[in-house]
Amino acid sequence: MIELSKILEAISISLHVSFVSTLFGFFLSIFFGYLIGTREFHFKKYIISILGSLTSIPPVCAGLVVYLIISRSGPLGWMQLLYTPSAMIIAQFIIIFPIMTTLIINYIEQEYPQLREELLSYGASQKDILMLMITNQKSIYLTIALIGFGRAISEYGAAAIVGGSIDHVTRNMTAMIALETAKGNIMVGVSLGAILISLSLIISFGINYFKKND
Amino acid sequence: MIKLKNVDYQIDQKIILQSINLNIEQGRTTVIMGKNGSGKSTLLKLLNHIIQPTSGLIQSYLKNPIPMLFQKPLILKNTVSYNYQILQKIKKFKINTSWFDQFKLSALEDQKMNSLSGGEKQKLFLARLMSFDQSTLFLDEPNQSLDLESEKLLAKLLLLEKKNKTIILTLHDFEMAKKIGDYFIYLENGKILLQENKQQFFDHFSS
Amino acid sequence: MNIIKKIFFVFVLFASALEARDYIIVQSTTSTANTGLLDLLSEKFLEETGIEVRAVTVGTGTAIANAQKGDGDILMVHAKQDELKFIEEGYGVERFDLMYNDFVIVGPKNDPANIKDENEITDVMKKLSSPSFKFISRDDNSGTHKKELSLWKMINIKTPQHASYIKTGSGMANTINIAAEMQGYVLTDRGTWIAFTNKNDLTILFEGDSALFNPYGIIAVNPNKFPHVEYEKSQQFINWLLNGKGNELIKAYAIDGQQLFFTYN
Repeated sequence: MIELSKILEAISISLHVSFVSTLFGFFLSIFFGYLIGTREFHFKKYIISILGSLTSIPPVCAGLVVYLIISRSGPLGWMQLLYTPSAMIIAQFIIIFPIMTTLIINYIEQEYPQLREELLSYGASQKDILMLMITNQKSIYLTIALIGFGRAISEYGAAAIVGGSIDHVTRNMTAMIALETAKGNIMVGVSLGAILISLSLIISFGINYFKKND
Repeated sequence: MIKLKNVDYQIDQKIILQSINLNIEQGRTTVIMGKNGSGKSTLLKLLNHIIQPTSGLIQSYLKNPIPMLFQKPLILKNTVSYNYQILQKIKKFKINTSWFDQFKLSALEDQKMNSLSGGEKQKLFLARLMSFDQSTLFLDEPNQSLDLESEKLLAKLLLLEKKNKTIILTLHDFEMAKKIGDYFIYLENGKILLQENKQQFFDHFSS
Repeated sequence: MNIIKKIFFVFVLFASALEARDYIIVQSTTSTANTGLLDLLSEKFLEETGIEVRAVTVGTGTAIANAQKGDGDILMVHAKQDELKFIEEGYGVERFDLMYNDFVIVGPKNDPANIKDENEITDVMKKLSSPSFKFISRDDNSGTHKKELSLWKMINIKTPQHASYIKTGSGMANTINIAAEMQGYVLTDRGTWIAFTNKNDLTILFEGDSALFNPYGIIAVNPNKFPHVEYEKSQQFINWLLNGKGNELIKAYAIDGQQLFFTYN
């Protein structure tokens, strides 16, 4: 069958890659989310629509796009990123960034206008308004991070294409499920799948808990 | 005096207010009435420079927006006392706690905002606004969510305030309006249907 | 705070580029990987030489295409014609015979087409081309698929053109699963079959014809075409597989007591 150490390795790779991609996804989505959400400009509606449609990008497509860019024959081939965990991080980032950004923009569009109006009447500066907005509901940030992480760790296709599912290096949980299933070791696939689902459940409960306690 | 000449306001191709011509006189209480969606809140915001008209002219003795009571006031995810004090921190004025005391809000000081009832929240919003000594007051539906007793208290407090202040407010119910208003504006579908003094205004409705 | 994060991000990207590469990338096929042989060879080679082998396993067609883009140092597939073309077109240096096994035709135990007692592959293929029996094809440009096409060619057809010829467009495991489900026949390499643990009631029904010979070749990607390839390390690995400990490991690799791959020496 398969040794426990290999399974633990796959779990560790999944956690590492998805944690880092979520970290980058989080900070960049918050940054761009506020940038787009708190301002009015001509292309705003188009950008938000594009982001919205990118949230359902099939993972294989994201993987393919990144692959073409970092392949040796691609523009960033010289960076030697193909088949490394860094490539997986980038691919997962591309998948989760639209979702996270859309979430924060939705939150801003809901809360910001009335917050801004009232604070303006009190003569608050733009900076005051932004600071209050950012610090007002802390649970939304945790929710967004958890949603991003959940999506990143359970995707199959993006990280697999650019990571190459290489033993000890880029074979994460989902790649291992695919490989072991291809070898006929259905039980390994089922076990890892169960671990992933448990993780999703924990994340889901976490999100609800923080929402309630706000 | 606040003077509006041929003011229109529209957003996203939707016309909210049309051909508004009115004068708000200082020192008296003006009540804006009308059905839901007739444009009352929008008119109030225009009067306070919160939004700008899409066409027409506004001349006002106020040069900048002043603190006002919104229909959906700002709630910060925190305690009652935090919400009471936060705006004072921004405005850096001294707080007048008389309304806070009148509504007996010190009992709720440490509670989180999301545990308050609608009426308790409204009392906090009123106390918050009235903690600043202003000579002009903009109030959007100040009596919403209040129980009968609190509403009576509100009317009493407003009558005390109106003596030397300019008050502009929106209201739904005629009873309270009759009690405290001097001049009345009735909006329908974004246009002014009536604007009259108290006597003439209520004559319309009794006939 | 955000600016720091952005700088860090960029730094991480560039850090990968700055490292000297102490690993070689092998573009190989799923039929070798799914047996577990590649994982073993990689581990042992690393132990002995300190050089990491990163084996990417995709279909044969994809492996070749990847190598043609320079995304690998070594190509290890089982499609001799395409491999020779690869060399001809200047992508590879030289092709070496690495190892071989054979293909087998697998089908339901009750053998509805009755191919068990046939001796010639052409008779078998003629029977299997009939719409009365289901044949499951990988249809994915893999080495196995190419071999299957060459077998149909032997009886002068491209492929059967009826609804009983089922194209999965996917890997060996999925294809075998579908064959089991539909009680159909399928061509598979022996290595994958021995290592496959979900056989259901399928069994080997035809084997041994010389047309089912399955040779694997190994080629180093041409450093003249792609200067970034680790040519020396690749040569080291190839030598180790042909003449060194690697050769022994291939011969010794067995599952359930059955040898999966055979070497030329």
